[in-house]
Amino acid sequence: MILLYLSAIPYLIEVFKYSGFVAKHFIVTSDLLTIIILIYIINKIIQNRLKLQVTGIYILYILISAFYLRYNYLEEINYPNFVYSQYHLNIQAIKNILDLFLKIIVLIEITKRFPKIISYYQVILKYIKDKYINVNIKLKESDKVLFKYKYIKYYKYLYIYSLIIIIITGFNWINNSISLFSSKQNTVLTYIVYFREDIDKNSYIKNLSLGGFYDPLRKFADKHLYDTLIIPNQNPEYSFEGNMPLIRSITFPMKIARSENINTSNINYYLYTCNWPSYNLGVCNTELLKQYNIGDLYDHNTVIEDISITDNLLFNSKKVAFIKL
Amino acid sequence: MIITLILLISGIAFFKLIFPKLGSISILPLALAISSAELYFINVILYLNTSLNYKCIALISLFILISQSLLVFYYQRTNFKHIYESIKTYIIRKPLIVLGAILFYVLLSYWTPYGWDAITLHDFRSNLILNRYSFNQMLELSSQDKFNPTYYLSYPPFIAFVHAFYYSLSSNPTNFHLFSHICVSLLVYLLLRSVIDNKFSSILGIIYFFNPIMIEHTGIGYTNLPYTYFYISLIYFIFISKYKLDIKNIFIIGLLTSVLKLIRYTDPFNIIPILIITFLVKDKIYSKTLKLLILLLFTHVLTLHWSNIIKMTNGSFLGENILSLIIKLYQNKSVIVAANLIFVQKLITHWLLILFTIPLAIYNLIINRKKLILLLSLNVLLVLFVTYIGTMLAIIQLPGRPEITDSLNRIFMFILPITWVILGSQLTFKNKNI
Repeated sequence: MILLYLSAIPYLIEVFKYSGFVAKHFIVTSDLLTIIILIYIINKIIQNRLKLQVTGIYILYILISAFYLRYNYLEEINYPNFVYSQYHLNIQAIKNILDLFLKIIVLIEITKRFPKIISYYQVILKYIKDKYINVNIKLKESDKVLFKYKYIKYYKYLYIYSLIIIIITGFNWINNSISLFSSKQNTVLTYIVYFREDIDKNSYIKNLSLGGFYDPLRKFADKHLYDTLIIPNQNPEYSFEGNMPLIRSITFPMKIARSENINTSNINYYLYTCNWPSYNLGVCNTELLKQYNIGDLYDHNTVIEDISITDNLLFNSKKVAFIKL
Repeated sequence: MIITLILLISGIAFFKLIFPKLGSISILPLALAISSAELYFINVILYLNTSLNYKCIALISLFILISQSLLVFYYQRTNFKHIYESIKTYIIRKPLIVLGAILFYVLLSYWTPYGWDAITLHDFRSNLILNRYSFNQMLELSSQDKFNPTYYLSYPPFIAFVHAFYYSLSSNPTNFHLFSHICVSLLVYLLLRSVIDNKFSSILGIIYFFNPIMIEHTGIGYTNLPYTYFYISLIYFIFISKYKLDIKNIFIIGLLTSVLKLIRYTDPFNIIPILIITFLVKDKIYSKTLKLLILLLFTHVLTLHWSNIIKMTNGSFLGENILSLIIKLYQNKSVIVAANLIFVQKLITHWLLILFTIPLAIYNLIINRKKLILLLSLNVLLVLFVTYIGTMLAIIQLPGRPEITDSLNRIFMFILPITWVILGSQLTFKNKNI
């Protein structure tokens, strides 16, 4: 029973030290060490048929997850790597512990609810022990009809073959999906931060891969219809901003043009990103943007209309507006 | 959430109207498929023939679905109190499971679809539908846009209409994808239950639900997950109908195959169930051929409105004559080697599970096991054969297409539950199953 808690030790060391501490001093990485311990534990459970009490692990899971959420929240408010600099704690290792406890809980719950699995497992163990002897899978008398068929003697091999594949793939699937869920948990948490705290919202929404990207654009498109929008050429820098089909799908009735193919008669709106456009836009530099109160980004106020630019050759006597992303 | 529940209930009602004897649990996973197909055809008829606003069309179709379900439940006198109390007792007995399910639901259906292809292709087309663009206008748009003309009308419109229906009633279309995945895992459970032990089949169904590929696809919102759902519901319906071709069965099989064509037009996998029917149905030759002809004609009529549009565009995959493609294949044999290499490489890197099920499928064909497993194993082998030919043709028609990292991965996605059922079906000890 205590062994279950001990399996988290390699991660726990890394919480207080640094990630990769175990691999440096004990050669084996912490992931592999925990897996070895887990396999040992599962073997013991199945052989002795222990009745386990998992309430301790449940309580620990809730406590650690509360800590984990709190630390993540602090990091969202302040700056990345805030917790390590202040408390000297690794957040990634805490997450690993949580994943491990979840795996243990799932395993034990399944073995509790469906005790037949243990018997299936024992069949495999028998097969591995008596590798060169024929395995006698227990059959009822009515089941001996099986042997009428010619090829039925290969059936037991296929049985074990399929069982092993099912166990391996099932373990893999659950393992991967847990990590997928935990990644989604983070996005929800960032949204909670966005709603509750009044902080620099730009950086947070950019983190939410696409969800943050198209909200302001969609708001913009609802307000202004039937105009053209100019976007930068697609680079690694402007992977989203320069993506033509994506932006068109968001701001549909608008026509979209690249900065290469500028037709000066159609320009009305201009997608303005952090560094783009690099060439001179005349009067419209950042100081002018500050005059028109574009400090509160991601609102309806970001769109400025009716600015006549006289200095620039490109936009001579045209109405130009900016959307900043 | 509410809209998907309405769809599910109306689907059950529609099924009970045609097959009053079947139990409600065996119907439930098929309900969403049938009701969404019904919704699509109502939408298309109203969209092509009238000049109504789309929100009006959505409300009319919702009204039809609700009224149909109410009528059926009124005349069959179902006990809603009994169902309500059973749900209530389940919530009181197992609150933790219900809370966990709600948490899963919130996590999975929080965003609108975020996959790149989904946003630009069918989700964008739902935006066009909401703005009431006719198909001809979409064709005009694609001819006007010089940079990327294929983004207006490349995929068939089924998923686009479903998305538009959800958007117009101000809810999230990822609900449809999520519930289709839940229905697939239920179907896996039901298929396995007919072969092996009840508890073990439920475990396999739960493990299938936590399959990371499918869970990712619920949020992305590609067409592949609905494709798997409709494909497997077709196979499940063939299994339920006990391999008979009545008029009722022909109606539903034709509906599902036509929807498969309307989700992904270029994938020819909807032929395979019809091929298998010709093997498995026991009937006289004349009547069988007549019924099959009726089925094919029915599917052709249902997909006419889309195939007319495909003729107008030149971007279709099977636009060229297939014979000329095959002649081209034999002219340069280096292409064949390259195609084989790519196919095998993709199988090893992405779909080891399918490779492992091939010997099981062959074994099941040699000893005649239950008809269901014969059906599934035939399915796997035929799908592999068809995709093998497909990669050959695709390498000539669209060079570079089969080398896209995710394309074959997604094309094979719909066999995954079938392979899972085949693997699980090996765990039998009972006589009745063989």
